[in-house]
Amino acid sequence: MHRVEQIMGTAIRVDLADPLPPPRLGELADGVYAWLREVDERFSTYKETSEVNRIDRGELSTGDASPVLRHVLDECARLWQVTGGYFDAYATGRLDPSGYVKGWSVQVASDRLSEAGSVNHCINAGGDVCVRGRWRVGVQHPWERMKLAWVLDAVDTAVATSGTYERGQHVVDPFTGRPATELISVTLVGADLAVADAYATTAVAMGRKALDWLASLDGYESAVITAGGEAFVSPGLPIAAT
Amino acid sequence: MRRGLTAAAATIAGTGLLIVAKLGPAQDGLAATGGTATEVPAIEGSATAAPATAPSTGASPVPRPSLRPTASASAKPAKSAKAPPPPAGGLHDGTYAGPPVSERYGSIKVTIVVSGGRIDDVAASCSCSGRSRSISDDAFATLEPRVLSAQSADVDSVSGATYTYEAYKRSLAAAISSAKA
Repeated sequence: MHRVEQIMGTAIRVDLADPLPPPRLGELADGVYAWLREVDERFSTYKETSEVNRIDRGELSTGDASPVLRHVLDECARLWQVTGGYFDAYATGRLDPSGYVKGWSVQVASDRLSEAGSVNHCINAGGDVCVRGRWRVGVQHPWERMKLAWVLDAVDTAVATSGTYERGQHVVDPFTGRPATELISVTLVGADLAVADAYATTAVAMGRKALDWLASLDGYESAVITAGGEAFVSPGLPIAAT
Repeated sequence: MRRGLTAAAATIAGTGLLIVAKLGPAQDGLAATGGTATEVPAIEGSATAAPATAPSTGASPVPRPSLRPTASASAKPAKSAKAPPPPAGGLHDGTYAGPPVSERYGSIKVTIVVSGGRIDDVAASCSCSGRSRSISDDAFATLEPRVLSAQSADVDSVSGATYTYEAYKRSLAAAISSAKA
């Protein structure tokens, strides 16, 4: 059973492969989308009255913000530290935690599905993927739209890809204020989609020096394609056998 | 199995053979600007020299839907037989394509498949220009260099960078409009 809905400016696909009654699967999918819409209302920088925009305009202090928003801001601050400032929710000059929110909200959705009895599912939010159970996840080839660069054997894990080939140099290097262009595609595989997504964005912002940084990470495997067409993988990347 | 993969890859790197893949322009009829296609065969040769990619054990026996890299309408798995659900979103069943919407790096075209009144699948295609550039030789990294070979495979899901927000949204909105008409 699968569903597709349009939230956060992207298509979000939910696949539920559990042997549960179809009405129950429908309820579970509804719950996922209700949560993601709630997140979008609160965190969207496109919605004038979102909580994020009210904080950005100074109408709301972080002390008075909702617990989930404070959680997101705390995590963004922690990631800013562990990435040496490369993951920056203020990189564009305003508060924009989108680089954390999508991955985080999908991870929460997957965790909630697991608690509700779905242990074989796959959520794909615009290319960021969270799976429970075993699924084959392809990594988009940056230049050949109908092809994959890698196929991963993903078991109870998250796969996030950031890149400059779709959005057009979207990731900003917070130290220069300019778009990061050295890495065309960075894929992270690990337990938490929020972290995987944030690390992927971080690596794109870092450029080539991310190759060393990625190799030093515990618990997160990576695959990188540079603007020059070079490919690099970490030793533990779960590439599918065939 | 994974250890084997790693070891084989390390051996390749250890021989001093710096494996880098140059990409030619986009294939398969996608728009391409500049570059030469002659670089591509070199990749193929390198790829076959790497035993790391040889199949070893069987893939997982888990039953799964077969989803193509960019799901096309025809690749959608057949739904199990059941009564059609009531139209939920007021959309007419069928396949609808939005117009290509241009962005700096190409144009995005979104196609939706409507089934039972709701969007059942969304596929986007991007005629983005491939870029070919000579590779700088200062590459030193602690990650393993690998051959980047384009492949097709049946997968359940595809991880990739997000489409340009505005272009994607506009093409999708147009596709939805035509499904309502």
